[in-house]
Amino acid sequence: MKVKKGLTGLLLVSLMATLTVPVQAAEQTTLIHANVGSSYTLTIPKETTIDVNALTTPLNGTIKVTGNILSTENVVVSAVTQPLHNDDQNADLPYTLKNGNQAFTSVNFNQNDLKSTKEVQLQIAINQEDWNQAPAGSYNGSIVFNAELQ
Amino acid sequence: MKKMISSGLTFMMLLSTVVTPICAAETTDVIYTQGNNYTISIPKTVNLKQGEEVNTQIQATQMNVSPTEKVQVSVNSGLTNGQVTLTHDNGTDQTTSKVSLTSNGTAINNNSVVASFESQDLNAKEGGTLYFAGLANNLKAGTWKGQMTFDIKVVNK
Repeated sequence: MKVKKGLTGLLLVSLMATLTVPVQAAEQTTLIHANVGSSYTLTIPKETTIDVNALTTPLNGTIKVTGNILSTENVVVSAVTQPLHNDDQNADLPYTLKNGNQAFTSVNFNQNDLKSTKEVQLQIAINQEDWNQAPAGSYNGSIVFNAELQ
Repeated sequence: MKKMISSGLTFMMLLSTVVTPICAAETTDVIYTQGNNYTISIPKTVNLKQGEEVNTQIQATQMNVSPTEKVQVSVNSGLTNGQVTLTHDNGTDQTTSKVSLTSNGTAINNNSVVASFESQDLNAKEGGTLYFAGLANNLKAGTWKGQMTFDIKVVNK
């Protein structure tokens, strides 16, 4: 009887040891990510000279945007004009920045536009009446372009 | 007379004790088996970069395996010709990154062993670091995703 009990105890110990062995295979997944940020370059004309009495003068170069943006994004280019000013006479010569026949406010460039050859030619428009009233002298002004990713 | 009976009774009891049979000698084996016990940490996410190699670690945070065995981590799936494929969010564009066990090393493939651990050593006996080659520089903006799956198992040395 004693021998039997001893055997039973031994079997029990062995069984318990077997049950505590952990599962020896597992599968794990690693996600591989890369995020490429949007980037773009705005190109604008550096300088334009306006002939006297010219009603329309194209800027000496086009507006274009190149780069890499999402299909859901746009690069919006807008401009703020600074007056053509005559320092000697302290006088301004009014002008309008135009895109074709319309006053320029902004232009959108989408993903495809950035990879294509889309360019926008803007013009300086000055009325003849303003030319007629302009005091003699040299006039200098500037246009500030702003590009924003939207 | 009472005293004699008492002595006789005492004698009989002693006799009874002596005649109890002696059992044969027995042995109890005391056995305990410590099962293999380990924890392997596989990186959940790896963030790749354009033009720059990135590496990531496969680590053991708990390790206790028998002397005749080792814990082995291998690639189950995710590689094609040694490259992991990433797909752009647009679902169409794809790019790849070579995966190796050394910096700028030879590409590994599915089933390649990427790390093994032995005994109670938390340091990888072999492998343990995965190197992902830098991505192309002309990728479309956006998020690119791929995945690799690993097998972890105990094998004989």
